Amino acid sequence: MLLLPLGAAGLLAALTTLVLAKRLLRARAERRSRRRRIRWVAALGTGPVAEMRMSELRSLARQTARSAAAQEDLLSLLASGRLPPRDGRRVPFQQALRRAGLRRALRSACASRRAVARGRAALLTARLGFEGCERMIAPLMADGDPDVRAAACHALACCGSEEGAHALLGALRDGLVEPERVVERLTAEWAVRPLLRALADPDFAATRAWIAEALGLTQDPRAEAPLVRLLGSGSEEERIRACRGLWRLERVSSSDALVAALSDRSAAVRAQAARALGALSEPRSIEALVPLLGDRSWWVRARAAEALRALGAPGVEALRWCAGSHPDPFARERAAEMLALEPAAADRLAAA
Amino acid sequence: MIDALHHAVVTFNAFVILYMLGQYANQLLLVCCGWREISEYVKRRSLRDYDTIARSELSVPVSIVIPAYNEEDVILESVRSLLRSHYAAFEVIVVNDGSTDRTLDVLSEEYRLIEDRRVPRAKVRSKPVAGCYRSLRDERLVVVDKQNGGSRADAMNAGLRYARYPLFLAVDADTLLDVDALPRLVREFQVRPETVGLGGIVRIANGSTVEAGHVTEARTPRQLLVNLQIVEYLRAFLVGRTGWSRIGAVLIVSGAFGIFRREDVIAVGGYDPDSFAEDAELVLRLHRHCRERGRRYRIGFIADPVCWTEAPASLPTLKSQRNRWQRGLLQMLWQYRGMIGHRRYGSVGMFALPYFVAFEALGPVIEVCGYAVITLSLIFGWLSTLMAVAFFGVAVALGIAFSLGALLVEERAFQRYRRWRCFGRLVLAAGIENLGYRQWYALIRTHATWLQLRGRPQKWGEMSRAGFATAKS
Repeated sequence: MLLLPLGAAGLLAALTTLVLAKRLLRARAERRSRRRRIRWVAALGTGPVAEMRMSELRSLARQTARSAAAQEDLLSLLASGRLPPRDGRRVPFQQALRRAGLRRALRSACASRRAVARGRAALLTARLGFEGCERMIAPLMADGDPDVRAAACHALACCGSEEGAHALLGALRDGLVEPERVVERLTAEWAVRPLLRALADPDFAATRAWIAEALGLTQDPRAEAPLVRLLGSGSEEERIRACRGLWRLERVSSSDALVAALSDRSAAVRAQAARALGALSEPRSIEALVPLLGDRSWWVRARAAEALRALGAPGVEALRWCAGSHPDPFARERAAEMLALEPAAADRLAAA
Repeated sequence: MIDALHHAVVTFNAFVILYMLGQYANQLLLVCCGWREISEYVKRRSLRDYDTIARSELSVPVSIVIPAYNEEDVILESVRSLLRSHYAAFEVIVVNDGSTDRTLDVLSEEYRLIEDRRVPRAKVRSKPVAGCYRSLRDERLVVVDKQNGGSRADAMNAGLRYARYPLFLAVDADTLLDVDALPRLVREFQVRPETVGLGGIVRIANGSTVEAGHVTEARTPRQLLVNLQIVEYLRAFLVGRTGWSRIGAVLIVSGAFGIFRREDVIAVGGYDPDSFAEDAELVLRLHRHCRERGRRYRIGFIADPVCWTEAPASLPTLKSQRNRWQRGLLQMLWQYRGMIGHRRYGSVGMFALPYFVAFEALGPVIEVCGYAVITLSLIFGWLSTLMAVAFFGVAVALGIAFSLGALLVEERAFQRYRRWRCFGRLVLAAGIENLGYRQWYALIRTHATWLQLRGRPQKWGEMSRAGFATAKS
């Protein structure tokens, strides 16, 4: 009978010890991790290549090839931008890591049975900028684990190369990842040329709308002409995305195409075109936006009013006229609502 | 007569031993599942790029709905905290549920509200809305002023009607969110599009350092009652819900911090204004909806995005809160009794619901009866004192063991309480919890069960709050 309480007391003592030990061990692991990160930065140094401590770098790289905790430390240093060096030390740094077998270890980790190891290897390979990293990572875009696919997507964007962009576009075309997740990675200058090529490629016809979205996010002027063409000839979804793209580019030269889109048969396109015109600061578009305040779609009226307000003093003046004299009661209502958001009107409201 | 009573007592004692074994076996299973789920989560943390999700214009936008009834003390801090969230696209909808204090006025003064003719976007049941306002200071803030509906569900439904975005996050007015909570939640919907609802961990803010609407350092207060609740919350969330999530049978997504796909919630008719466990009821209805349509879906829990809340610091407030929880649970289980043990509802029907009936609904009653029977047995000499002490000792020790298990998971994964003193208080609370508090809680729940069986009407009641400014220790 006494065995039961004794056993229970033993269990409690063991558990309490385990909890305390976990806390102490974790603190120790944190200290070790901090030391390792300091060693990386110290080994790299801040001076010329001759002052880099190559043997220390190789020792750390060997450790990283073997231990998951060391890989986590290196990844956190890479993510914070402290590594790899971006000057002349980059090539010797990469060579040291390669000689220590880190590249080989990461390549085999990309085919590991453990999902975490695959994802981490992809991120490390990309952030360290090893040659041909895109080819190592691209197959992981079709991985069965969603976390690994997301990590591969992130890693390809970290490569910052046209080859990486092509791999991402391939995943978009094949539907391996949600389109939004690919598009948000293709927003830098290195992605523009592959995106433009894909926009003209019939193989990518089904994903043209998303490519247009990505081109807008790059904010690159080279995207303007293809987006204007798409606005004139694409499907409804493509026209919407083209308008959104032009809104992000904020180029006055696209205002004629956007004004033409205000009479599009699709309300969503009209609304997006109105929003884009609001961002252009082009007073000539006021004339085209005023009739839209009486559009049959609430969203178009709202976007038109917001665009007029965004156009500054002439737009606000037009809103005042609409609030008082527009023949359509919905237009008058929308203009009045928008005017209430103007600071002067708001102050009057607050005073009242 | 005495013989019959003796026989009944012996049978009951045997039943209690078997019942306890069943309960602890279930809890052990949950601890193992929770440990595995958390370990997996921790290992994958470095793969996750929350920064891009927070900044991306293509991340799924979120409507945050806060029901507020007489919350003038905490509402500004809460709204400020939410508006500072690191996320690109979200709106905050405060639903003033017919407050009789200055809740609407303080919001109006701070955020310069003007009337907005926003059109409701969903047909879900709620009391009439008196007005909808938007802020001149922050266009992401919307205030919906409605008649008091007598329940949180009614206010949530009003918020749901005016929410614009595909995801909606339900939070309480007395909660503070971690700045990076939104990207962590949204990521699950983006990476696993079959996700319908998701809960995050609710932690207790009492005693913690709060700066600019955010908890900057987690600490424990001196009050034992609050520390007991901290351990209880850690056990419920880190062990319980993560374990259920692993099995795919999460029944409760806390109303204080739960995110859902708006269209799915609208498809099942929104929250049930007559329910006192509206959060769990909604989750169960979503399970039923998806299972009956043979849809692949996920309702889960992740322990990383944190929401901080103020725990009751007095026994009467705690009693009222727990009374409501127990009655809400019983109401929900009765409402969905048809799903219990039904294979069609998978792990929810075959495992989670029977567990909740056997151990959550009936558990307190059996525990209280057990104490009474043991006392009776001791009086009549049917049970040796040594046996009774051994039995009680084992029950207490196993209870403490599960609380320590929760602390172990916390240490493994998060280690939020960095100070040794705070950690020591929690270990102490884990020990004391089973000597008095647990028995008191069983009595409260038994009383609530009795009231529910007698059909006594239930009220929401008001919770007295100290506010987050005083949460600093």
